[in-house]
Amino acid sequence: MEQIPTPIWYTITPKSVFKETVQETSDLEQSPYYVLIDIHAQEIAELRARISRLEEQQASGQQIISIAFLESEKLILKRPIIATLLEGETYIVDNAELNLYGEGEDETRAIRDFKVVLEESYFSLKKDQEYLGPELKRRWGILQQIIQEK
Amino acid sequence: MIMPMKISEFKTGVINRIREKFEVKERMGGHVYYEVWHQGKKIKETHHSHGRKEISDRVLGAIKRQLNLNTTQQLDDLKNCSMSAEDYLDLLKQKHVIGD
Repeated sequence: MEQIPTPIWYTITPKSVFKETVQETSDLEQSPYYVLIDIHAQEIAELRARISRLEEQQASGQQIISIAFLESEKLILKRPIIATLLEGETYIVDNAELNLYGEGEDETRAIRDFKVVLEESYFSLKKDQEYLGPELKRRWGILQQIIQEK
Repeated sequence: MIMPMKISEFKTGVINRIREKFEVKERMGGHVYYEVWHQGKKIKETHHSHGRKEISDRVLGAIKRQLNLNTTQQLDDLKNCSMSAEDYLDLLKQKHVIGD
């Protein structure tokens, strides 16, 4: 009985692979050939989409900012929070994931306002943590990951 | 595009409309917070600043998201009664923010 060779996989980069397979011919001769399976395509598409969004944000006056610490006597940030800063007559600092925003007449005030909202939201959710609906429960979970009480 | 909304209109229009179907608790802090409660659960929270007479269109955009509305126009619709508290309740059910 004719034996069909098992395909062999060679790893070229962590995510690109060459697959050796067998080409069948009419006279039953078999010769291996190689096919590059491009599994970077999805990743590249996602990165392109992210760059495109960032370019749109930049064009619309939005900036990405990092908030590294809270000016709080009670809380500290375990890691920086990424937020968008929207410039205009009113400056808005916004984090869509937390669904929180701060506002001010300039960048500094908007960032400070965001920190106040973040702190007050933390303690409000902590107080009512047993009674939170799905969205606020999720926010409370995120806040617990990024904020630590002094 | 939605125009800025006076704080008084937001309170008497939007918040009081929502109050027809939900319990809304007002909390004072660095800002004025509104907690929307339904069947013993706190489901939404939004706020506006003290000391301002009106809410800018950009801030209305953030409030819209916090209240799970689809458009800022719906804030105007709540204020003008063209969106009822029942409609808002249905919207939150559709989005699975609350159960049926």
